[in-house]
Amino acid sequence: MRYEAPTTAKEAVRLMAGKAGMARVLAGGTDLLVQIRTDRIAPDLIVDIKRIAGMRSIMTKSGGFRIGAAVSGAELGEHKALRRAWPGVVEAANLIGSIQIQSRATMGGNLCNASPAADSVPALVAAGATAVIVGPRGRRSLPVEDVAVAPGRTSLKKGEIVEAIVLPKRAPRSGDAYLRFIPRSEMDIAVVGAGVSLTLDRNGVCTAARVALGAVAERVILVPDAAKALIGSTVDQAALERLAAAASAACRPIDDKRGTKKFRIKVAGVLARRAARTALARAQGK
Amino acid sequence: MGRPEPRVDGRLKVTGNARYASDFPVANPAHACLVTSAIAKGRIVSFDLDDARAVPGVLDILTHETVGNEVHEPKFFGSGGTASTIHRPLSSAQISHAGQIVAIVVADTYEAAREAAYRVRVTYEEEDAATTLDSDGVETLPATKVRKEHKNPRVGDAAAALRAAPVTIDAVYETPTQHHNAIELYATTCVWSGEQLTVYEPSQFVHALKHAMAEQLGIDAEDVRVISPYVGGAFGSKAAVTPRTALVAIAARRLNRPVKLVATRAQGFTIATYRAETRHRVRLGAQRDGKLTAYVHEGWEATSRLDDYLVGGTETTAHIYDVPNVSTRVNVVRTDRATPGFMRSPPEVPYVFALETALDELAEALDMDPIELRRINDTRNDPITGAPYTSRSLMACYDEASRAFGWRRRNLPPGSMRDGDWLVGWGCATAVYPTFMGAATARVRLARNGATRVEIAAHDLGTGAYTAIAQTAAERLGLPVAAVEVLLGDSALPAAPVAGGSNTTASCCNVVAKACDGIRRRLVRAAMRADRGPLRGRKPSSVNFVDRHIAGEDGAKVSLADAFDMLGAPMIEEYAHWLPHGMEPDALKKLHLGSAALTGGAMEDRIAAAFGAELVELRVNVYTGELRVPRIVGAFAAGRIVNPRTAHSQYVGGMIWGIASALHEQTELDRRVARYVNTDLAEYLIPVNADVPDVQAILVSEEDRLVNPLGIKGLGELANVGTAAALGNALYHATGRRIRKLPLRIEDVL
Amino acid sequence: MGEMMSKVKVSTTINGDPVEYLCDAEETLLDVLRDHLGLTGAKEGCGTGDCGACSVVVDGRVVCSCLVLGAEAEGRKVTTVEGLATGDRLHPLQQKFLEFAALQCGVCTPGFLVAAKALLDRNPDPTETEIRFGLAGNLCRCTGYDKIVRAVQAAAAEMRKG
Repeated sequence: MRYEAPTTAKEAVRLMAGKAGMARVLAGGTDLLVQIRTDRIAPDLIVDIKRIAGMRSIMTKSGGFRIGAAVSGAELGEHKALRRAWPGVVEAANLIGSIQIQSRATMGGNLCNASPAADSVPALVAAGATAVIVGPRGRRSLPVEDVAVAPGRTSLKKGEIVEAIVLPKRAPRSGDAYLRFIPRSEMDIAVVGAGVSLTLDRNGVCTAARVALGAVAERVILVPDAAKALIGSTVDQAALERLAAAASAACRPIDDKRGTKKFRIKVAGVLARRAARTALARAQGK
Repeated sequence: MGRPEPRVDGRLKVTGNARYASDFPVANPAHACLVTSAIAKGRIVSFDLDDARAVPGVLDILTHETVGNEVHEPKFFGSGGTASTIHRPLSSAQISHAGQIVAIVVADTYEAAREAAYRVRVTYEEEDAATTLDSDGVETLPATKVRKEHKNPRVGDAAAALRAAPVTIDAVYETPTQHHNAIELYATTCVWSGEQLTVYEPSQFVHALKHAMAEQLGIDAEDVRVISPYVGGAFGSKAAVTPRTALVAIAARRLNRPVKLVATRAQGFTIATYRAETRHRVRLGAQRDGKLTAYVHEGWEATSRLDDYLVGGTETTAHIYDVPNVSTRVNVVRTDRATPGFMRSPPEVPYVFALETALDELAEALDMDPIELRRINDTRNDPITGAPYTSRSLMACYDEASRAFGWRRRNLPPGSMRDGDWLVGWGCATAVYPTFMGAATARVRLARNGATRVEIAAHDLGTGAYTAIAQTAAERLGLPVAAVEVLLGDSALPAAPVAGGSNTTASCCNVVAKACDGIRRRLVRAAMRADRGPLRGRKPSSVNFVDRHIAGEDGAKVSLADAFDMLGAPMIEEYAHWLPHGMEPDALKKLHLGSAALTGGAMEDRIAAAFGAELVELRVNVYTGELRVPRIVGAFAAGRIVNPRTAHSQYVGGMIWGIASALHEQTELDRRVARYVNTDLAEYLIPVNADVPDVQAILVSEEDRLVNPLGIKGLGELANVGTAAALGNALYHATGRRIRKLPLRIEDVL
Repeated sequence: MGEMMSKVKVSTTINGDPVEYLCDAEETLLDVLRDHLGLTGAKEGCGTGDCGACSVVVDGRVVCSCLVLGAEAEGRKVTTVEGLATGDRLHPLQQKFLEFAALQCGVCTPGFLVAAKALLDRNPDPTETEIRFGLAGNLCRCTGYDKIVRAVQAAAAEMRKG
């Protein structure tokens, strides 16, 4: 195995696109190094992107944010403006593992690891985030929900790297939230995760919403029916019940040791409702 | 003794300087990596080692084709031997469990060894494997058939009493597979120097490991030394000798170079032992006033094909309550799995869960407070033999625990306590652990300036043995604890028993006290014979050792230094051995050969056990079924407490173990292929800091003049017994749902 | 396959001292510390970032050294448990761990101390909840969590006094 730590995205792409067998990007390494140590993959080349300045910074961009792919969860949590604009995204990213993991883990890595239970992804999907992808043929943007296609598989082509994640400009009276259910109090993998983002008009009527669920399908899913349940309502009890029902209906989970199908379907509704309440309170400035 | 001294080994541990097995520097080590079987049953058809050998730095690859008969058949600890299994590692193509060691790769670096191990290709011929208790192809046998010394405790006519009882309970309980998962991994480093072998391995029994290596490798036991001064958690997993050690020794001998193995966390699930799943049918009969009239308990325990591991927990449960008619039976179920082994309170955790849950069901049927039910059936004597308890404080424990918990405020009917979105339940259960002791030897040396050195091949697994032993010697010799140096965990030291059955403090403090008493006698005799000495002519029994002096009751005293001068020696060294009550005289000889024989519990003429009472609050979220345990109170009585600080840590840790055991811990089996699924610490859930509730441990004072000279009972395995039952009982109290299978799962509540 | 593993030359700072080493590309920082540099205070408990026994501080942030490549330490500042005490004088955290009986088998202790130090460096006055969640990445199988929390609180109070 070879280790390279390029200082430009261009060089990173050149290395990733090179002939050398299996190449993998090292951002936080919290998934990659585990996969190597447990013999799930044996890359020939590792490209460490943490020395590329543009991938290590958070920038404001047309009212939104451009978050470099190698920015750690801890750094996200310490960025006040980002936390104020997108508290749901930041709290989701900060749920990934322990403080030790937070020091390293990145949303880019969380996205590219393509786990259906990835904590930051439902929040990003709800937020309408896009991934900036750099590759041998230049840059392109992709909605984050289209990055993972199946557990462990992404739509990225050889040589492509997620360079940054872009969060859009926040409309006034907007709020987002992410909640997950785990058996332990901390340090666990989501049995179900729910992200909700919504915007209210001056009268408190919901004008836009996005709802995403994790760990209930082969990848994180956007649930338009759940969003529809909120739009046009004041996010009252009846709307929340419709949202919960739509969220449960959208689930196509598996039974595994962490939770049964039945349990995941029920809890998805409960969590979506709770996340919507939190998002609502944030939109109302509470 | 009796003071909460800080750990004497603490400073080394907080500075990172305590050396655990894999921390010992050895010159130019080669690194080993294991390859383990992908199938549970069948045989290896062939190896393809070309890719593995091509990895730069690879030195050797051992398989059954190279090792063959080199390892002599180990003797199973369950039959008086030292080994976790009779399996001879790498002796044949046969596979008897998933994750069995099939090859060991040795290379210049760990990375090269790991890479090459990954490239070892094995072709298997697979047969259908029987995974667990009710799988096709298992073999179920009565324990009395596979272990001639096993006795099913019984008394009276339980069948008739059950028929006649106005109130009865008949239910089936199940407990899961669990793994110890000590944070320290299974590590072994072997170093040969000519004919002599040094083994660095975390061990709960260095003398057994020494003799096991001699037997398995066909070498002289005096040529083997095992070094294990610090053990990073064990909980039973490092007691019996596992197959890996002989293989590392052979690898090191072949290369004539030290070889170091640190098995991965996942491999640890299959290369060592575990707590096997059990099933129980419990029937209780009682009068309407709560008096028990019948107790019938049949248990089934999973084991392997090769070894009949048996916990037989009715040997504990049959003695707890005053029941005139008892009938018990235990069965082993042979499966295609690795051989199970000791895990913290091996018999008590599953069997007491079953009994203490059944008792709660009985209390419910009687409409009676569950603590009251236990009070009605309390006893001072062994119900099976009639022999007296050396001491017993079960109800005192319940009294102190219920006062601290506020048990009086409990509403009796289930589902009657609610707090917002949470259903609240309170449950209780008895904790019990038989008092075991073993033959032990020790050497103590006292110098004129008070410097004391205690040598004993005991083991400190984090339990506090270093500190308890230092305190014992310090008290006997009238010295500060800091004057005492304690050496443990080295087979070159005088033999001490296995650190198992919670016997270490009782066995080792008694023998160290005896050696100190030998020193005292010599000094006292010198002081009493000395002309002009202030203690001249006194009776030996009238003096004590206090504050670096030999002191008479009237204040007359002689300093240790003067006593040494009177004796005319610069130092005294005493070697002592100690045999507990009920131990055969040949126990010392056996100890020196690495036998783990212990005595205690229910003996012919007496019965010795520590007791406790655990009271818990459990909350169930009405929407998600989430289970939370906000508080637990345990009160425990275990004779004389040498160090309340370390005892408290053991109790608190035990209760948290019990909570985890009830709510989280389960090694999941893929039943089609008899393989474990969750073999890492992300998926095998042990409690994290934020999970831990308000845990209160109360030390109930208890004096026992009979159990051993110092009146000490073991307590390390007491507090995790009964906790699961208390939680299940609390869950019933919260919801009215009775869950008889561990772990308690959210799905069972919804 | 079978290609020569390329060695990486690394210059870094460990516990204040400049250190240079050669490591394999896939060697972890934990293995470098333990096998090349003789710093065995950090322990391997899982290799997957789940137990925290291998915690060290890199550039002011606590990480699992089993999930950091040795090569990544180039130009960084690394602190291990061996760097906590000043000569014979224990760090207040070490002192309080002793006083509050916050250790048993001791194998998780170095990781807890390092993580607690990183926590207090960022937050000198943490609440109990902040400590519990802040140390949730460190597993103690003897489960002495409560005493660890008390020790960290006491050390924080002492350090605030200065």
